[in-house]
Amino acid sequence: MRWTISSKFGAAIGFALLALVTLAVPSYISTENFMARSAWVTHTYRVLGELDSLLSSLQDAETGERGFIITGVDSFLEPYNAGIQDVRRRADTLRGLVSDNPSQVRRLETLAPLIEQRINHLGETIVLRRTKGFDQAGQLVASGTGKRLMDQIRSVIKDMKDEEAQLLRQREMEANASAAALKRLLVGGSILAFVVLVVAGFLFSKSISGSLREGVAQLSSSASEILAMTSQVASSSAETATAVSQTSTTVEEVKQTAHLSQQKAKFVSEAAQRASQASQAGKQAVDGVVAGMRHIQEQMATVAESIVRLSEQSQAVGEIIAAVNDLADQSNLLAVNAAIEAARAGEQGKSFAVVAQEVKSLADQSKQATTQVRAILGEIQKAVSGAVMATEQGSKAVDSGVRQSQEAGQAISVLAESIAESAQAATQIAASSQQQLVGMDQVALAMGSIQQATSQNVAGTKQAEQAAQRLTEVGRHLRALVETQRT
Amino acid sequence: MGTDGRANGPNTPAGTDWSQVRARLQSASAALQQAWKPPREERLRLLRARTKAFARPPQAAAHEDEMMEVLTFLLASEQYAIEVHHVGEVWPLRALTPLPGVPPFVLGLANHRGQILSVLDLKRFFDLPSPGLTDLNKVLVLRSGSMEFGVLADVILGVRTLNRSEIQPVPSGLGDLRGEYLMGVTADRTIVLDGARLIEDERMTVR
Repeated sequence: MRWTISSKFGAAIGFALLALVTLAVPSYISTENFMARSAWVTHTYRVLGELDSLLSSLQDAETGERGFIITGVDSFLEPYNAGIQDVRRRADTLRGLVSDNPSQVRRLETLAPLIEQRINHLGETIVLRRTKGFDQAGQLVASGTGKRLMDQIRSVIKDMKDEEAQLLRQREMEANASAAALKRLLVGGSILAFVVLVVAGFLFSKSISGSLREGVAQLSSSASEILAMTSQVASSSAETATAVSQTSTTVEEVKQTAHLSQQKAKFVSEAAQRASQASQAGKQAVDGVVAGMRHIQEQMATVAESIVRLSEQSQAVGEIIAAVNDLADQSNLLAVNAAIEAARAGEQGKSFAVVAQEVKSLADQSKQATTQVRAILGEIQKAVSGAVMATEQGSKAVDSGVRQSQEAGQAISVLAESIAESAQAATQIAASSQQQLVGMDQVALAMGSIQQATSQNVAGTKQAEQAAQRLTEVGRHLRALVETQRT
Repeated sequence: MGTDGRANGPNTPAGTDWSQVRARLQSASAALQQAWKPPREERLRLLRARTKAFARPPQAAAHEDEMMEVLTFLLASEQYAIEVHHVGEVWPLRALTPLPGVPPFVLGLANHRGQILSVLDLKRFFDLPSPGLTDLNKVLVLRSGSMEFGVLADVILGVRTLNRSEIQPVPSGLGDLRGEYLMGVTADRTIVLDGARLIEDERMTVR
């Protein structure tokens, strides 16, 4: 499982705090314990001091009493008065101090009446001195009551002091033990905490420096990548700038082209208008051509009819010629027969023979003429056939001319339609060229923006490059830090 | 279109000269209106020929016996001649009725003005090869005494005078059969038939 640096850090700090708390709580308890023990020792010393002070105050009071007894001067009573007050105060203090110890309280209970008796005895002595003088007082002192009381007091105090000394020893031993335990706890806990913290610190540092090194490596590689990217972006930006300037030039060219195409489209539109009018005229002309062709066709039919009639008439001529030919033949034969008869007639028939010869010659000429006429008729027939054929061809040509004229008319109407469409298209082209011009202006504007953005891009890329450089520097620095930590 | 003359095609020459056509028609009809007259050259040629014919001196043949009148005719592109006194007359052949049981050279019977006549084909008689189509629409009537028959001819050329000295003998190599009916050949390659022998030949007699 991956821990974040902060969680690792928190874990390490928490571990240290845990160790601190683990160490501090027993130390505090031990210290408290030690302090309590020390307080008890101090308390014991105080009890001992109070006991000593009580005895010495009592002896001060006794000393003052003895001085007054001896001298009878009141000024010797000052220690006595002070001692009594002191004794009582100390007794009260003692009572407060030893209230926790029943045996001592019991001893104090025995001590307090003894002290009161002594004080009373001292007072009786003083009163006696004053009233009865020195001797009386001396006697009373000599009776030894005071001394006995004093001894008893001393013995009780001694007991108490012994008791307290025993307690003191015990408490000192306890305090020493507590101090030793505290020392052991401090030393041992410190060592343990030190070891634990060292291990934890090692692990933490290792973990931190490991991920840190990884991070640094990634950082440096990322930084170099960013550097490469930024250089690429810079070159791309340069290319973009070039492309943008090229595009701007192209846009200018396209604008000119669009302007030109607009003019051309206008020109085409006008030309289409003119062509449409021309095609209208052409259509009318074709209609006229078709009508003329039809007229020609009718004329052709008339011509063919005339030619056929001519042919028939020439046929009649041929028949007549055949009859003439026959007549010539017969004349010829008759002439021959006449010649035969003339020959048979002998001398008388000579002149007749001449006539017959002449007749035959005429018949021959007639025959020749008929032959010529027949030949001419044949030529006429041929010419008529040629004329009929030519007329037929002409009629066919006129037919195809009519058809072609109609096709031409259709083609012209199709042409007119397409010209109209062209005119419309040209108008649309002009409109779209106008739009193109507007769009080109917008493109030019956009190109300017792109140029600006590109220059900003270049500046930003330069900044990014610098930042990447700094990042690389930081990575190097961090790596150096980590490497130093490791060594 | 007008610039490209070839596009009009050969049948429709570019721009017919109608005035010329009209003029030609007019001249033709004018010529037709007049009686036919031969052109001047033709007339001159004919007149000159006639003058030359008239100017020719008469034949010097003094002797009547030397001369003979012959009828010339064409048969299968060859010119034949026969003495006039053997020929009765010439007819045009109008109808021919075939006869059964006769030699092949007898073509059939013909009727001329109520006169029945048997008609022969000399080519078959002479066993000549038939050189293509012939008219054979003229009949020469050969007559001698009681014998009378018709001979077919393509064209009757006419009667002319022939000098006997002009006739040369038939060159050998021609068929023997044919040779015996011939008198000879003239300089202009007219075959002169011996009419007497032809008429008197017994083969002509139909039995």
